[in-house]
Amino acid sequence: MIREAGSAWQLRRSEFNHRWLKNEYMPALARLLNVLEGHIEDSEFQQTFVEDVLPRWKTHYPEVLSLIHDCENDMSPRRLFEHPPLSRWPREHRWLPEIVHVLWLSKYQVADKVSDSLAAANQANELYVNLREALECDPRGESVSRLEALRDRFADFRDKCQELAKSIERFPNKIFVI
Amino acid sequence: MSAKPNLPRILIIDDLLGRTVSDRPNEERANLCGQFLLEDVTGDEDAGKSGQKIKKPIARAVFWRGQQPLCSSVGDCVENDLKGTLEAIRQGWAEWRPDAPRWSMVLLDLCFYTGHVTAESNVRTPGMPEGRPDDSSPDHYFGLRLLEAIHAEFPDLPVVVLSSQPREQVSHQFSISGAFGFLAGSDPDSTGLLKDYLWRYSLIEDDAGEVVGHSKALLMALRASRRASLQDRNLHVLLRGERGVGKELLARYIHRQHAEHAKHAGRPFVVVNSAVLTPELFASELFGIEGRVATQVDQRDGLITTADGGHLFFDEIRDMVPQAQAGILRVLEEGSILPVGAREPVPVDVRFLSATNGDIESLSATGRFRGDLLDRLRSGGTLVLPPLRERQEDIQLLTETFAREAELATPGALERVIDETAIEELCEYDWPGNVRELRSCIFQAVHNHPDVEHLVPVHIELSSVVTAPQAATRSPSDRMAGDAAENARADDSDQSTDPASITLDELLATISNYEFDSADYAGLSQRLEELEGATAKLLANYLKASLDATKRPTPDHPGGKIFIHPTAKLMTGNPKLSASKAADLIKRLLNRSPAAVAPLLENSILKEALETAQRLRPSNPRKKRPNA
Repeated sequence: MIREAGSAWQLRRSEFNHRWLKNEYMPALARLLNVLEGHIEDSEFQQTFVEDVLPRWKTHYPEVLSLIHDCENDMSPRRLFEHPPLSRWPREHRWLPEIVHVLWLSKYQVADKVSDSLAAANQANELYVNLREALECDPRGESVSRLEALRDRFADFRDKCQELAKSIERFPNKIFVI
Repeated sequence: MSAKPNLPRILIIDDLLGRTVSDRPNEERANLCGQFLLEDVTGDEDAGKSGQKIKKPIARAVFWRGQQPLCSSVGDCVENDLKGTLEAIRQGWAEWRPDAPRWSMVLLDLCFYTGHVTAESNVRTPGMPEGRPDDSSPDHYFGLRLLEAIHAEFPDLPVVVLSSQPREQVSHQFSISGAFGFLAGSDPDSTGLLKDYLWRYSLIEDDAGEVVGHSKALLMALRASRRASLQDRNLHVLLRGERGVGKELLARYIHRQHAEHAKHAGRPFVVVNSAVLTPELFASELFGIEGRVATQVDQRDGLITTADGGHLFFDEIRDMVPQAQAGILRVLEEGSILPVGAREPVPVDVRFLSATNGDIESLSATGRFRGDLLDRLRSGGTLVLPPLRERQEDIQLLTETFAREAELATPGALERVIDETAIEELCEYDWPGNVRELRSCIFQAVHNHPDVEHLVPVHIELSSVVTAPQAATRSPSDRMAGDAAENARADDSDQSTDPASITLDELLATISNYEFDSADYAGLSQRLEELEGATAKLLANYLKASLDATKRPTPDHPGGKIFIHPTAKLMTGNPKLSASKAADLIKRLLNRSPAAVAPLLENSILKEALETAQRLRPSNPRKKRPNA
């Protein structure tokens, strides 16, 4: 049960960070940048990217916020007290889980990690919103020249996604015993 | 077909990228190819389906899922496939084929998801299963199991981990299992990193085409050379290999790779034949001369100064006289030279690449080569170039390359197809003279048969009696003994008096290193004319052989007519040499020591050459004095 509690968050992290962000979204962003730099000829990809790939961020952004917020609760060793044998401790000893939790937060600097990840996610989201606005406001729509003009912004967005991926990697891989 | 035929061919083993998706292109694979600038040559339904065209791909990629089935849909159960994956690797590694060159490198994923493809998992990523808890556990990564198996069966195959998982989780395991490195797909400079990994670790041909071949043995030597080129310039490299294997070409490759990788284009590469560094001349040749106004001595740069900032290649260091050895050791120790006549040393930045085909350690042990110098000359490592008999896969490509060169060098020669039976015959031969001997053999075949469209066994003249079947059946210890015997043969030839038993290189070394005995007064007396005569005869014989080599049959001369212009081009190596300069050269060679050369002129071929040259460039008649 304990293993499952921790691994549920790990699976969510793997789903977002490994399967989606790093294996799907960021390679597509890198491909777009290579198209915009003239390394690739692909008449359809820019349109596909803007219409289909880029907006996927919108659905995954709430998912990553929830993942970051849930880390403190789901990965804390306090969870060990919810399952046998520690759950069988007398009621008067129930202060211990909170002490363990506070020690864990301090030792692994969890608050800093949460704060860094939230900052990276929010900054990435801000860049995404700016990109969407720039694309929607432009009367030429998603023409090639317009996308080329936004190349640096796409690169900034890719770099911020990379920062987010790295910050999420820094969270613990298992429930550590203090 | 891509415009660049010898792009590295890499195998990417990854569950997500290797799967075939039934009703749409594999988007993740197309993204990765677009990200890394790879040309997808998998050959499955997905390859090329995305419609993107990479303008300058850095490699060709074959994708492999590492699981069964390759194409999965809802309801299928996906399982890892170790045996099938090893077989896929084996098929691209066992032999080089024109349509499927050998793997240059394998990029290997770590985390392979298994289990059933459900409606939910299929919506998330088409064809991908739900995954089992152990799949994403570093202790149970299928990629690491696969890596161990690959390293055990294919120890020479370079493998790099390609994963979006945290590197630190597996860095110890992948190092133990023989991977060269770790490539994070999400790195912003992933293309640059892959390029760098390909350069450092993969088995790739020389894309400049100067070192010709694609055999594993050669490509491993090229890889070692690229790595050596990256080292600190104070670390010098020793190149070993039998005569004719191409040590100078490898040295030039190191120089070129250093220039390209360190962005030091235009730095000099200087070749020094160690045999010409006589005790009297080595200092002025290597270190140069300080100019003196009073004595009217002109300043002259030495070879080391000429090579400053680049590489200096010492060919056959066994021939280096002790005085030169001491002088070079000082340069290596002090990083400066003292030109002849100078008082102050001049700092130099030269990296030495030295070559030998012999047992330099034995010379060192007996004091004929300084041990401390040898240690310095190989401080950056020793590179070994394999003999041609261990590179049989390269014989066809080398033969084709040399045939094209020979056709260009032979006026009117037809372009020819190399017959399979000719390749078989060439592969059966032991090639004691290695690539140089193969080149001569093919040039001779083209010059002797310029008007044919096929190179067949009857055109090939082989000189060695040792054949490959014997070599192939030799045990490793026999081969070592054989190699020792060969080296001994080379050593013996140094003392041989039979001109036919020594190579031209050996003859040059002997002449250059010959030391006259100053104590033998009588022996030195009246030998000038003889020496000049012998030199003139040697040059005349060289001309005769070159005339023979460039002879071509014509209707009037079915046995072959001589042409002095191609002869002179062959001798000088200058393809732009004019006909008049060629005639001048022939006259000069045959007019040295007329008395000594006269008997040779009775040979019709030399006489004919001289007459042709005189006809083309008649001597200027003396201007008559007005009063005469």
